[in-house]
Formats: sequence, structure tokens, C-alpha cells
Amino acid sequence: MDLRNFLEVLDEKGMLIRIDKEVDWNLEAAAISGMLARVGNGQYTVLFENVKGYYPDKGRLVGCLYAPDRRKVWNKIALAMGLPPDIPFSIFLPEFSKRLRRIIKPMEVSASEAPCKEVVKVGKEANLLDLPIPFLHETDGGRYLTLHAIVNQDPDTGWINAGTYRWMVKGPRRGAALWVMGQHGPTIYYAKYEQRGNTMPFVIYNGGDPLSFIVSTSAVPTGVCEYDVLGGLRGEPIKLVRAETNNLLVPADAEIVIEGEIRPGERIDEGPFGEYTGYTHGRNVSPVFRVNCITYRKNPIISFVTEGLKWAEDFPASLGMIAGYREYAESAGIKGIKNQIFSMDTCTLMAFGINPQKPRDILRLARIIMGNKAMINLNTIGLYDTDADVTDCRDMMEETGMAWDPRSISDFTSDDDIYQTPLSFISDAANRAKGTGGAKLSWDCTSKFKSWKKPEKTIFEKAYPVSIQKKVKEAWSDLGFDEAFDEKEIF
Amino acid sequence: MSTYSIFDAYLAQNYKDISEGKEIICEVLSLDEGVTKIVKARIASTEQGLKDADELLVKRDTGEWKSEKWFIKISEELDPDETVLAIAPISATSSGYGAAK
Repeated sequence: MDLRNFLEVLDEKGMLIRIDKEVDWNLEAAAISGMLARVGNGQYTVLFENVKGYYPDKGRLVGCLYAPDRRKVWNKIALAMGLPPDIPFSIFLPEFSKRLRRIIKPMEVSASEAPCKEVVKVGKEANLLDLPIPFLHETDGGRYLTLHAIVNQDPDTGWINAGTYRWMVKGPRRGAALWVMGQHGPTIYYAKYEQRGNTMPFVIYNGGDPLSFIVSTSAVPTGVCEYDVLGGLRGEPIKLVRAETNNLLVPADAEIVIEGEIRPGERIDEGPFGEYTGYTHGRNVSPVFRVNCITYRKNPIISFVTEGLKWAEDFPASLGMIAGYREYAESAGIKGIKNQIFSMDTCTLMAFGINPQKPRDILRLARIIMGNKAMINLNTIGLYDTDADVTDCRDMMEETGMAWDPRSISDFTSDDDIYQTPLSFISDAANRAKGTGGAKLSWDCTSKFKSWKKPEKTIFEKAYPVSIQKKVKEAWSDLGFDEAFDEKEIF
Repeated sequence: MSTYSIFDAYLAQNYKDISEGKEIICEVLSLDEGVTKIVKARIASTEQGLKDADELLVKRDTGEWKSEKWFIKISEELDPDETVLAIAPISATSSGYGAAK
């Protein structure tokens, strides 16, 4: 399945809105998409078919590609996997985890079989401004790609890494990234190419399989290629094609492919950028991404995400992390994890539903997760009984208010050596540059091994006899309430 | 009239040359095209003395606009591949947030 197939699936489900009115790539498309994500509750994806200056055939934009239902944040990913969008999380997550563990090697195809080669622009003919790459927030430093992967290769082992690092257009043939040591792609560059005085080839792709972004933002282990994992998640080999100007491979059905090189020692400004952590992350220093070639499909569709608070468009990106954390904890002997989820907006809080087997399982689970390097993205962990629906933010807050006994063991730690996302503002600038200087907190809202017994919750299903519940349900539409309420809340 | 923006850190870095009316080399963001350019230009805090100047808005490192409006007269757009630009320091205070350690 490629992006265009996925848009057809969304269209069939009534989840795609096509806008043929002229919309500006400069802030307007992102503002529309961001507001749609905020008020649309994941019901829609929006395809801008008439982008100012690029109509009728120079490119389109798609927003809200993953913008989820706030109560079923996995709904569009389920669709992309060929699963029903209303699948319960307790069924979805094990299936997602199972496929994520499966390795299926990609297959290479010829350029003539690769839609991403429909248009090829090499050297001075290549111009990033020929594509409607959007300007997303007023505070940003320029136009940004957000739903893409940057691909590079370890020169010693041949390992190919494909990771998502925000990428800024700096000119017709130049770009910059948030390219921080410690993450796979940047570390390959800094520790191997630059340290040896070598130039590193790269490719960037946008589009292709809609699951690609989920994999390129996951904590795939060192030495494992994201293309192999993507094949496993998809259930068939991903078709790759050789780049025009270097030896790297890219998905043949990508919408756009940017090829280039990073030379040692060159630096350029990158940012600011309105980030998923909920505020504008400031100006940084990046290597110079020199562009040598751009290939793309005819009238390419560039997918983007309007990051920031209140819309959580890219929440599904954390699904790969969620599955990874769970597997990590289970491999360390923690049993009874039922559900887990990242917080909706800032993706810095993780909640677990757990039926602990031993009293010490609670603290162990928190510490195991905190000790994982991927914990760089997390500050806080909440641990809940399995009857709490931690996939629902409101349920989680209600449960915290009701069942968190401040006398129970909660764990706080803070140190310069503790991982901390460079996007966080709680540490100082030097630590932010290194991804350190963090602080972590876990709190325990479980009841199993406490000295008190948890009371029944006062909710509709418990507060009224079945006869009254039945009567209310049957009379509901006659009372005129039918479509005015959230289905999950009623019956 | 076109509109450009520049980080305040670059105004501070080139303050002496700017105040003496000299040309400087700097990177600006064209708000019309949404792309950064490296240019040779004179910059002033008032329009006087810069005939047919374009508007220059000033951003903090965190992207917020500063209230002041400057003016820029670009004499030449430089090839970024041929130009080395000294990056202005990013400090805890210029980033506008975070611990001050």
C-alpha cells in the first residue's frame, strides 16, 4: 500500500476531504489542517489539490494523515494495516507488536518500475522550491518536511538507517535538520563520516507506505534496518530502488526523493520549529544537507503534520515506541501489562495498565522503562489498575485523582546523566544539546498490594439497577438525545 | 516592498558594522518565498538613508517576533555554496527558555 492507495481507502470510508479551492502552502494549509485535527476528532484527512503557485500539476499537500480519534488514537494506523478502524486497543497492540517484530527483507526493483522516478532533476535542475513543501507555523525558520525519513548508511557495517528528523528547506539545493548526536542517523554521520573527514551520502523520502512513518519514528534497535521492519509490519517486502546520484535505496513508491551529501565540518542554522512537545524549539546548528538530485511522482502529494498542542496529529508515531517499551518490560520478567499509551499531545507521559504479580513489580516496571535509552522522550510514567482505560486521557486523569495514594511508592530521579529529549525546556542549553540533564517521575495508582481496598466507582453501569439502565437506553432517542452525544459515553 | 526576517543574534553580532552603515553578509528569511537567502546588504533601524529598502522583521532564536522593525537594502544575493557565514552563538538566554545553568 502506498500513500495514494491509503488515500483511496480513507475516501471509501468517507474520511477524506478534497479541497479544490486555492490554499497557500505558506501557513494557510497548516492552519486548516491543524484546526481540522483539533475539531475533527480524527474523522478526516485533508487533501489540498490546488496549492497556490503549484496548481494544476506541480504538487499537492495532504494534512491530518494520521490525526486520530482521541478515544481511538490507533484508528488510522489500523486502517493502514488493513485492520478495522474500530478494533479495540487490547487486540490492536498485540497484533501491531507481532508484526513489528517480524523481519521481511526488501526487494530491489528497476528505475522503470519506480513511480518515484517519473520526474528526475539532477544538479542545477533540482530545486526544492519546485515542490509545495509547506511553511507550518509563523515562528518556524522556514519551510519544513515533517513526515519523511532521512536514510544513511553505516560505512563499516553497511547497516542502513531510516529515521525521521525534522528537515528544513534552506534554499533551492540546501537543507538542515535537527540532527542530534545519540540518535542513529546523526551518530553514524558524526562518529564515522565526519570524524574521518568523509562526505556522507543521504536520501530523504516523503510518501510511500503510510506505515513508513510509524517505523522511522520507532526505537528500532541499532543495526536493524527500518526497511526490514516496515516489510514485516506490511507483511510483504518493500520495493526499493537505487538513488540516481548515490548508492542508497529508497521506497520505489515514494512521492518525492531528495538525494544529496553532507560534507564534514560544514554548519548552518536550523530552526526554530513548532514541535510536538508543545512549544517552538529554538534555533540550532546543523550540518549542511547539500541536494544533488530530486526525483518525484507526477503531481506529487507531500504529506505533512502540523505539530503542536491541541491537535496531536502525529500521536500515532509513538505507537512503535509503545510496542517497544512493552516488549522490553515483558522481556525483563514483568507480567500483567494490559494496556499502555502515550499521552495525547506532548508524547512525554506514558501510562500503563498493569495487574502486578508481586508488590515490587510496580517500581521495577517504572525503573526498567526509565532506564531504557528510548526513555529520552519520556518524563513521566503513570501506573494504573487494568480496569482503568489508559487509552482515554480523561479516564486516566480521573483514575489519578481517585486512586493515587501519595503514600504509595512513587519514584523521582534527576541528574545530569539522565536522558532528556533535546526538545525539552526543563534542562539547560548545554544538556539540551547532548540530550541529557533529565528528570523522571513515576506514580503508582494501582490498588492490588495496598493496605486499603479500592471502592466501586460511581459510574452509570454501577450506580443504577439494570432495569433503570435498560429503560434509559431504550428511551434515549425518544428523549431527543441521539446524535448529540459521544457514543463511547452512552451505553 | 518585500519582507524579510533575521534573528536578533545576527544583528547583535554585526552591530558595529550596521551602525557604521557598512554592508554586511547575513542570512535572511524571505517571508514571501519561505526560503532563506545569504545576502550582502546594508541594514538600518530607520528607512532614511536606505532608498527603496525592504522591510526587515526581527525574530528571537525561539521564533517570536520582536516589536522593532528594521530596513534592509540587498545589493547582492550570494551563492550559499561559496559563502561561509559565521553562526551567531546560541545561548541559554537567547534561546528564551530552559534553565540558566
